Amino acid sequence: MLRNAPDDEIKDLMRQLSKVAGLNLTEERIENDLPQFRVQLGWIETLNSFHLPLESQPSPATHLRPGRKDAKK
Amino acid sequence: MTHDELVYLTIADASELIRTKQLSAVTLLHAVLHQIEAVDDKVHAYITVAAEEAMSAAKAADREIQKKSYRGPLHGIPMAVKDTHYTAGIRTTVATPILADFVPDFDASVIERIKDAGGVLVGKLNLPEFSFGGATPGTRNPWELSRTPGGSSGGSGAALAAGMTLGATGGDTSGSIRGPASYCGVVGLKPTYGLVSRFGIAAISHSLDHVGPMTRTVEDNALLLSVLVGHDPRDRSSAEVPLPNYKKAIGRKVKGMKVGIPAAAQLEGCHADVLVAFHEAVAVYEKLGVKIKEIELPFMKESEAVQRVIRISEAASYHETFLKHQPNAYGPSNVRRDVELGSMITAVQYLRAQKIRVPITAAFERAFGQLDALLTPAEAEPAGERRQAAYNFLSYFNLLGNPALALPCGFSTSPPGLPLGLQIVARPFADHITYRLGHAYQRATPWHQRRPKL
Repeated sequence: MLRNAPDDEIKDLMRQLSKVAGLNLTEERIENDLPQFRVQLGWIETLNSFHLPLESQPSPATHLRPGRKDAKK
Repeated sequence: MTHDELVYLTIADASELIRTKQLSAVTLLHAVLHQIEAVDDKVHAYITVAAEEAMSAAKAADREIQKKSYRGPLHGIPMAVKDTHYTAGIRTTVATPILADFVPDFDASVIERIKDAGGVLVGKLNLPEFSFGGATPGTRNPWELSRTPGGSSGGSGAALAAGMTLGATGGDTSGSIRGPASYCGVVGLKPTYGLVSRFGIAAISHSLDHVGPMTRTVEDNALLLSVLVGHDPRDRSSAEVPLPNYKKAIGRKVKGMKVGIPAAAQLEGCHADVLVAFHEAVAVYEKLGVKIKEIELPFMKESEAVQRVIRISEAASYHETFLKHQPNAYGPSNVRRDVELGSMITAVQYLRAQKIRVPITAAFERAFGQLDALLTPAEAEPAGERRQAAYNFLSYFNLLGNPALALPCGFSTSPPGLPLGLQIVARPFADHITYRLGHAYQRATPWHQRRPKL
């Protein structure tokens, strides 16, 4: 499981992911964040083990409402 | 009336005295401001006390009431709000150095509603940086000053318990209204998602954030919710639904209602005092004629991972600009760490979490079945004790969006004298059912009437 991978491997992951996210974390930040990143990887593993059918759709946070003719622009 | 009697008035009682001109808004405000001066150097609930603005509002309230322009039960009532709520002309710090000098030029929707109802805004209450966390650094629990009031609405819970406001608001993403309510011996509602507008409130996680009332009694909570609710087109998640009369739920009988409690195995690890108080609360309801049924809450373990991934991804989105342009300006908390890591969650992972939310919600609805409500412990331990419970009964309902009310249900014996909380959960938009059950419980028990010795 990724969350049990050696520190070097996890840190490399964090460097790459932070670059993609536009953050470019320093080594100090990577060191600081590493333990919690392992915890986060554990959450992702839990999500990955949940079976979802192909037709699954995400829960919507907002719903469309019928438009009103008198709605303010 | 003594000073203590004044500052510990319920909103219901104070509003009646004000309406009938037996008490002025100015007198009540003076008492609350005096209480803040007397005890807040020990409790540290307030970030900002807006005494001048409050006095102007109290005088205006008294003038209006003299002219027979009474606005309703919140008219002239001292109120305080979590310092995530934008208040025009009054700094809104969100307890972060990044926003230490931020003064909004508009009010949050809930602030507008409080002011329209004639509420007297006393000040802004403490929270952990950006509302992250189950503690409120700097604020102390009035019941035991060496202990936490909980978080993130810890300032709100502490201010109410210490008589430094008659009503307050909080925000709840993972239990942040109900946790402090439980630890501080007050009442807090996480309303149905979308019931109270989040417009003008600093966010953590847009699909998990809720804003709600915090008070010392269930009746007061219903009065305050009645002011806060209503569709707001400025909040895209704001519900447009018919609203029940929350005040009418107060005093309705509960005999014959069907209420679920978690299966015994799901209460494993709760503090012994919490379990005793919870089962005693269940016995109170049985004596009131409520029918109790044990049910298993589905996917509790999975729901924690789902809630955390959603929360931290959405938080990272909110913090995108701060992280890119002011990363070193965060305070000494874990906020920066958490949103850096949230930025590393992929879109597919986030959407998987949002997909899993749907079958969890459906499974809960099946388990809930024909019940009217569910009872659980609120926090699983008294303030400051080590968390050992198997499951989190608070954040589960942020994921589902159901209304959930926390109210006092006893005091601990080991350690002694710390409040314990009960949680009542109802169907979406049946917030009034939590009030019906909560008020019936408070009529039968004395816990909400106790006061800390400060």
